[in-house]
Amino acid sequence: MAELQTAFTHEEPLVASALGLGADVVLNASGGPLAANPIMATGLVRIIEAARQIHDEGRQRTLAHSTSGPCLQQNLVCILEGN
Amino acid sequence: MPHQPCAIVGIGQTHHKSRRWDVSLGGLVREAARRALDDAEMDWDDIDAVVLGKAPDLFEGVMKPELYLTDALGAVGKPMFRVHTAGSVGGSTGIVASHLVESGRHTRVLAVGYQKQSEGNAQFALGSGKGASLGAGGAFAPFMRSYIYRSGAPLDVGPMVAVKDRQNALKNPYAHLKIEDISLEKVKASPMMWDPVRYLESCPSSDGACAVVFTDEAGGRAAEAAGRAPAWVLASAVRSEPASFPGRDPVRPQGAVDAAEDIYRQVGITNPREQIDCAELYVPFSWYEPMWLEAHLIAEPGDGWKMVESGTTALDGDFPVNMSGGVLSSNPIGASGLLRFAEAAMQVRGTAGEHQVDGAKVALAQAYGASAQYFAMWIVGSSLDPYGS
Repeated sequence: MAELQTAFTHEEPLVASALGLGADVVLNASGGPLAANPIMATGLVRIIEAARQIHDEGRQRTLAHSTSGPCLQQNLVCILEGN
Repeated sequence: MPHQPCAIVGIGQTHHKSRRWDVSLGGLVREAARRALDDAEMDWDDIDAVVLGKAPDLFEGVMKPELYLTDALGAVGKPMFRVHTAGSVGGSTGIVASHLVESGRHTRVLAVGYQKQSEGNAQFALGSGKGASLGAGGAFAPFMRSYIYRSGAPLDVGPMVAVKDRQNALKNPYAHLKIEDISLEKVKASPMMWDPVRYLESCPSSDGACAVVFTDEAGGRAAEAAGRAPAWVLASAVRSEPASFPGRDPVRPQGAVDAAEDIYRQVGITNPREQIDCAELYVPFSWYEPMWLEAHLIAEPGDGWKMVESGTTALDGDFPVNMSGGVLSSNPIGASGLLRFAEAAMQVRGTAGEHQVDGAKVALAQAYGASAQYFAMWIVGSSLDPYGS
């Protein structure tokens, strides 16, 4: 699964495509930024939610993405894995 | 904590002026960065990551300038980091860049700090854009008055700092203020702004930028072998504290003391006055020179002003301070901290020109910000083992 900092609906397919995430990848299981967007914390929340998917939901590998700028100019991606 | 050595192999800055109407923000930062790359004999492609520092976005009204300036700094497709710790930001920016090398994450990192004060109104912005603001001078004046009261310093010490820094600026081709006929009388005859600080004891508002290229040990050794002396980052520290809390001493902030103790411990310095050759301290208002000499443990409490009065901190003194002319002579706020850090590096590289301290091997730099509550400090050396231990 992947947590993407997509605060506007059109950004989700753009980012998912850029990251090569296939249809089998669950996107924003937490509800994502459309459900809660404390702007400067939103990226860190993605990492927390991606980690929580490993801790609490038994997933093996998750991805977190955060971004800055109206045109998605600056991006951070990190991949988390369980033991 | 063990880390990889980090070398400074390139330094560049703009000519600092009241108004750089000949360049955009992008042109300003690129001018400094290009000079740093030339100094390092590198090109944009050689840089792995860029760290950009500046003071509040409100100063020019350009939000998230790190996005806007990515292209101008050759950072498209590279990691780009923004640092913001008020007036100390230039120092913090240099430290973050050095950490990226020391951690082994990147090999060549470009740090850039800038401010284009002419494109906004910093004093307005310091009041959070709400209008009335005492400005930085008004905020610091009570601390300086308290210092005078506590130390019993003669009132001429502030003007003496102003004369000394402005004389040093005459030797620095990049300095903003060049006051050829500077004298104690001229400073004391200038208007009182925020008692005890007069107009000529205050920093200017400047447009300017500074850039520094950091490399790993191999890069530093290669520069050395090619006859371009590197400066080695021997220690760095940042500290911060709230602007106000019960028991806070704003004349001698604990963060200032702690940051100094930290870097001295890292280098093994037990007597900073003797073991450090020169220092660039963030002195935007004259009285901050003796205040920082004390808070950073270079002088005993109450004795900092004596180093000024005796000429110890003059360019030809035993412990020169602000050889470049300091913040009193050039103040592009977001770059001012990095300029201090860069000047210290220039001194140990032996590239400071007319304001060079002969034989400088270990130099201290400091930047502070906001209500004297953010501190960034580093020590650079001409070698990784300057005391031959």
